[in-house]
Amino acid sequence: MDLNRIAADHLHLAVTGMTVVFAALTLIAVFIYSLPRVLAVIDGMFPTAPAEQPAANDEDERAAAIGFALHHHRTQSTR
Amino acid sequence: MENFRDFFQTTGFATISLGNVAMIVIGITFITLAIRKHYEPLLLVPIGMGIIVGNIPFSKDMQLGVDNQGAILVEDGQVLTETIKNSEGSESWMLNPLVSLFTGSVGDAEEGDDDASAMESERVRSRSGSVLGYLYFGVSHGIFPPLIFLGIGAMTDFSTMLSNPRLVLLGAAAQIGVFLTFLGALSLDFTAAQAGAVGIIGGADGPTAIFLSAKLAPDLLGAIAIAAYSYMALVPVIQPPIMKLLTTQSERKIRMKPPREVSRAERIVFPIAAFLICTLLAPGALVLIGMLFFGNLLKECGVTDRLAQSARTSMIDIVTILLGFSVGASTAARNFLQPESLLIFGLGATAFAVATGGGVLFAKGMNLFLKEKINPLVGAAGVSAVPDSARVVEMVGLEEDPENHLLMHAMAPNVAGVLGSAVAAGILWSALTN
Repeated sequence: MDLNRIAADHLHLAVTGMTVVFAALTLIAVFIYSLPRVLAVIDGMFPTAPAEQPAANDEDERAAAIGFALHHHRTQSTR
Repeated sequence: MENFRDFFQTTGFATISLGNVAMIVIGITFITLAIRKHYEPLLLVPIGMGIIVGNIPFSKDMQLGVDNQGAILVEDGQVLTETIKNSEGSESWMLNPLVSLFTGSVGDAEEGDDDASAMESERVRSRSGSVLGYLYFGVSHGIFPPLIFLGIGAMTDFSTMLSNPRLVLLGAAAQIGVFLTFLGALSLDFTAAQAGAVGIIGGADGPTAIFLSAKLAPDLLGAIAIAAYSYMALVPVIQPPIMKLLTTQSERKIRMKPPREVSRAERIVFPIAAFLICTLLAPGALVLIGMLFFGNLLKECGVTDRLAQSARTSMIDIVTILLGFSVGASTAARNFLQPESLLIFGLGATAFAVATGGGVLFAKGMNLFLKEKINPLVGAAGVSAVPDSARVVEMVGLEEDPENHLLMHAMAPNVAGVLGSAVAAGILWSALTN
């Protein structure tokens, strides 16, 4: 191992490379920090229409009511 | 009897070397480790089998090895092919896709194809390559690694990183392994381009290592790829002692706040914005990062589920098989069993250890300034062996506190490490090719 083989250019490349990697990922981190705020501002400027709730299916409601009535009847009768 | 003797001379029994036998044993060891110890079986089984295949000796007249990528020579006119030196130093011809496009096929025709309008009256002589040579084309020309990145992007959830952006910096800190190993390789008499290719092993990312060495040091590609994948498989063995050495028991017990929920809009905007940031800073990372974030966009946009599904399942599996097998097959003893390979393995281990230590120590350094402390173990996941190093963090964390799950937190520096190593590769490529 001979450290004299490492030229000044190579050292510069290593330092610059590490700096650029940090710069790229720091910029990404800053962007991620600011992203929810930016999206909130955009949402405020262009509010999206609230999604329509799908109308409850009559069949489902009926089945739920029958299920509840049966359950109620059974628990009452076993007491 | 003479016929039998002649035939015997063509068999592998007559020509096999001790080096071939050693490599076959290494291939069998890889397969054994994958099956018995479950060390990266998806990689080690194809690589191990490839090593065995690549070390069966054959007659030089038979076009069977990865070196035989076919050749086309245009005579009596403009020469459209370029020569390369193969591993034995003799001249061989490298397939130029432009020529094969003109001639339409690769065969043993002595005369040019009359229908090939581009060639007109020029005589074209071509020689077909071997199957392994054609498979290896995807490795030697850096085609497979970006396709792997596409699949990785389609299966990666960046939510944990988006919910805790400060952990992104740990992915950068671990890249210290790349650049210190670059300097170490220079001091061991590697050329600058070779040192760059060796250094990227510290990124702990097999596809990135293959991509960069195909560009900077094709002659070392086999050794670098095998070293990178071997150390990735050995993450559960290499990392824990370093993590424990650099942290105290109380540090390993630090509990971190659960990650917040990330909106769909954030997950869609992120790949495009992060791609722009990374590639504007390091254009050399364009292909790898581009494919990674393209895959992620397919996953997150919600309207290309079929494409994302194909990228993260069938496509990445097929490419992994081809890449692993052909990289393994490129390790013929005469190329691989060189003193340089041993140095590369030594430097690779150092790179991995330095990268792990760099991440852990940087996390400890961050804790000096943070109110909400980071468990320094997650710094070790800054090496981009996804998801193995994150799993190792979880495992070591659970040893200290069985209720402290660090996996989700460790995934953030882990995917940041993928970005960091791709950016580092881009920087080394653009700096060392100029």
